[in-house]
Amino acid sequence: MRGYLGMLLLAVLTSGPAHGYALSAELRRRSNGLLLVVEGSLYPALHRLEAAGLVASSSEIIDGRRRRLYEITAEGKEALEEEIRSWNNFQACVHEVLREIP
Amino acid sequence: MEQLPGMRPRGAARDPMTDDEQIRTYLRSVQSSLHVSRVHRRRVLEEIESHILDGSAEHMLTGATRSEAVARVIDELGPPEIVGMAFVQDSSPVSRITGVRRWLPLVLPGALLAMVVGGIVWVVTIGVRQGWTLGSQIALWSYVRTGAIAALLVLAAAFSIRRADHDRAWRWRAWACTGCVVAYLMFDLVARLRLIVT
Repeated sequence: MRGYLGMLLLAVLTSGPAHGYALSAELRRRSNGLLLVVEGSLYPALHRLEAAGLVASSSEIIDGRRRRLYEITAEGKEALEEEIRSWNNFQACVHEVLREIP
Repeated sequence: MEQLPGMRPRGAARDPMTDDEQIRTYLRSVQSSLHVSRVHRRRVLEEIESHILDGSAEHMLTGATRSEAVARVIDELGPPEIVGMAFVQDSSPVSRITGVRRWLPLVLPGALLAMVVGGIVWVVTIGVRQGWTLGSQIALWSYVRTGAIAALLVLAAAFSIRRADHDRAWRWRAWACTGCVVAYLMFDLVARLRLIVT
């Protein structure tokens, strides 16, 4: 899961900026609750993406408490396209192998 | 694995802890396994606390009590020591600006401070050797005042650069210190030109 978490987070962020909990809720919603992301791994993944320049974050005070919003960068969008291409190739390869099961 | 103080196994009877105590206990347990820089630690703990509060607010919409909602979000986050360790494995700073470029906003405030320190040494040397005149006293006071401002800007720039490692928004604050030096020098130049003209 860890290998794909970055791609999934980038995909969710293409809909617009979001904070951590909203991202995990959206991942759950889009996967109909099937994707079991250990939520504690969400923030390290976001920090990794930020370190790579694929997402940017900004901190703002809402209702008296500090919240951090994440948004995808132009580099992030390019990386996501590349990840999707690579994922589609992988999926096609696996499909080809499975297709020949007698 | 040994249970951390204040944590309970999933499904076990809950301690009569208040909701805030549950959150504090969880955050303390995360913190104890979170061996990262102070700034990074503060950011991580703020994000996790925010996550718990957001999540519990959503669970409460589905009819859970606040206590149940907080416990559920904490369960979903996972064991605190695992959460803390995940950050340690990925503890690279957020900023990719490294090496000399990282410290560029410090150059102008640092140069101003170095010049002013040189000026103070020069004025004091002249004052000691040739006696303190009104002019040298005024010059010394001027250098000390400028030195204090430059030292503050150096500290502010250094602090902002360190914060920017974990929060890019601080990078422009570091550059603002350079802006302040430029503004101060312009102001000083204009004041000197006015003196010359009058």
